[in-house]
Amino acid sequence: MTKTLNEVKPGRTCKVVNIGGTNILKNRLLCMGVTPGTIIEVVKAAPLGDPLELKIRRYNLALRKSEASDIFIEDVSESEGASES
Amino acid sequence: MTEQAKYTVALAGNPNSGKTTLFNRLTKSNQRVGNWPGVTIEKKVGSYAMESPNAAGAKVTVHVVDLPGIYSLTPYSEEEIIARNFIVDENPDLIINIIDGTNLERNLYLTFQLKKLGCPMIAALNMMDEVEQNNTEIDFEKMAGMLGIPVIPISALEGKSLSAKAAKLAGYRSSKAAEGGVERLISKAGEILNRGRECFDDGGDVYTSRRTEETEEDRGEGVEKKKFDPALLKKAETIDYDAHSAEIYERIEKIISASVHEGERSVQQERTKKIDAVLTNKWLGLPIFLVLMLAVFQISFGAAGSFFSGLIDAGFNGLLAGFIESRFASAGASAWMTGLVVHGVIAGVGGILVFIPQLVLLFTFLTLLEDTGYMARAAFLMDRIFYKFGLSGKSFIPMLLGFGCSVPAVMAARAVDNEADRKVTIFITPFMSCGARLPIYVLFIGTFFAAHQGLIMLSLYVLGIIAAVVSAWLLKKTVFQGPQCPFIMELPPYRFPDLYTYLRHVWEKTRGFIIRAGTIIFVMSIVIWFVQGYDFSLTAVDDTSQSILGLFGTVIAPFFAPLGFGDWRAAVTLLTGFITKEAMVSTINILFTEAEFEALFTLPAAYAFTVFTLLYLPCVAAFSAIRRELGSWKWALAAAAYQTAAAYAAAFLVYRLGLLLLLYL
Repeated sequence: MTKTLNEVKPGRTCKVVNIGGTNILKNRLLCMGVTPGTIIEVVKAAPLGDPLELKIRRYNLALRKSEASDIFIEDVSESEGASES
Repeated sequence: MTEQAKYTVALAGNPNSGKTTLFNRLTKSNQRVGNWPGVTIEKKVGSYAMESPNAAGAKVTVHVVDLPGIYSLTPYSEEEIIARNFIVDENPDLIINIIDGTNLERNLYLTFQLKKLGCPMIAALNMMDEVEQNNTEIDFEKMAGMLGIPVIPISALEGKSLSAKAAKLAGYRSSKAAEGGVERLISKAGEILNRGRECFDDGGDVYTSRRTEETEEDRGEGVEKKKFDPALLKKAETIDYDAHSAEIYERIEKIISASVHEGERSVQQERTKKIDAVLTNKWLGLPIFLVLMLAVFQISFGAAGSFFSGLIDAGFNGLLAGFIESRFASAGASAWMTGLVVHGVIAGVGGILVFIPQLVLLFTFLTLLEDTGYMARAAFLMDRIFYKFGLSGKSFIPMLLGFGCSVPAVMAARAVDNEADRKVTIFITPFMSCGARLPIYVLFIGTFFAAHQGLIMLSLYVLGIIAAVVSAWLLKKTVFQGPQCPFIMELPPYRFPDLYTYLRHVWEKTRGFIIRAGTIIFVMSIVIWFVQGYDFSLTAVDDTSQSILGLFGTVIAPFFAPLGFGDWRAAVTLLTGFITKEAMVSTINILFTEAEFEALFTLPAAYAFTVFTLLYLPCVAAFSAIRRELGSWKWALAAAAYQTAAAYAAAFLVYRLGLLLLLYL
């Protein structure tokens, strides 16, 4: 079963499998470096629960949960994620 | 300037890459700030002189155009379109691509896209001090070879200027690799410029990508050298860049693994993480944000701002006006001349000047929050709330500023990157009750609702917020339809801003207010002075009811009868509210005796009048700011009409409900 990014708990790391959603969203995410195979760490959620703060390709990106739900991911064990970053 | 050889250099790079700081270092004070045609995105053009290679001692002018900060050339917002079209249309002699050395992966993406446009290019690796602080080693030669363009390490903060000294105090360390980097960048640029673009068109140079790269890897759409039609933004939905983007990132990863040896740690990221542990903390984040905003407000519009405003008021409107009046009197100037100069021009200009200390203070604090990276966190914190009615967290700051003054608030809407959201924000910001409306509330509430002052006052502020929220939702559903814009925002590392760049930002914002709003206010003040003091036969009148303004008030008064205040004096008061909201109180004092005032308004009518004042068209200064930021009279008039219609509807409702309530009480 595939998971989406919005289901990942803060502090956990995952790997992008595929991006769905509208093309405008998809293109923007790709430009910002959210490409298949990229390692993403979910840093935290904003105090009101949304948006999410992500760490990706050595920078921090904020994304709403609704957008995160279009990013399909697979879990990565903690150690593997740490070695990547 | 004499006719001589000149070159155009475009400065391109990601937001937060230090582009503006480099631009300032290259061009110093030789800058012009304007807007890109047709949009409210800032365009900065500057120039510097370069030694000519042909004639010793001769200078060549190099024009530097600061392109908007963008992450890619894929059409997403106006910025990308402007940047791409500039490069394609103007065909600059050189692109300097500034790259944040601590964030190579994402920054190089733009580099790859820029290269496809086929202009000679140099990559300037900025923030080298931070790179070295992290013990990251970069093989510049190798990177240059793989990218196919020269790579020059720089540190835009470096130098002997005051601002470089301030940077040292703020913890900036000098970098070995970047020593003299900006000078080397300039000389490399000169070398390429002087060789002329012909040598690039031949395709023989390693430093151009035009021939070799395009045939090799020009797959995917949106990369060929062609102009973007702005309509493409709407069509962007139909284009899929999937393969293209992934491939570029693969190539970037290859280049980085071959030429960069990453340090163990990232000092900036660790520092940012520590700061954010507090500032975007689950429990502390919002309270800190609110306290910070309250402090900015209190200082700008409270005691400190008022003190300086008072000084200007006393000096300009008191001393100067008195001095000129006495001089005119002794010189035997006619009464209308004195009236025009003292009550028209000086009062009008003085009315603008008294705002300036407050605005300077406000811009000083807000620009600091912006340039350090905190504003992105503010949007991050507030987004959840604004998402609900169709906007994003970026609309929060303009709306908050609206409680102080609508002028900077409307200007602050530039931070909203989505065009429809920006327009909606400008439409609704004046509903936030500005400081200038307070005196009129105080007068009405003190007279009619003495027993419930706090409650009634609060109800007005809350009503303003409700009107803004409902309007945002309504406007997004009707006039500014469109899909909800994705919220994809970088949270940049916290950095100390460059002193010079920071002061320039503050100055540019203040200057924008003085010049553009100032001219309209100036003209309007004279017009209002005239219509208040003269009748249609152009003779001076003492009785305001006989003036043009008074007659106009009489004509429109019946329009307000359904709201409970169909008196011509109430109408004139509202008309003068267009000059400044403070002016309404003095108008009431002139037109009414106390007994008349109390007799004219019933309780529901008095409340309806304050509600109307809260919502109807803002003052002339705010209106001119709205016109400028919306970019057209049509939209500005639409905004004013919408606001007045909303005021009418709300006041009508309030008055009728009040009457009903009175029946049953």
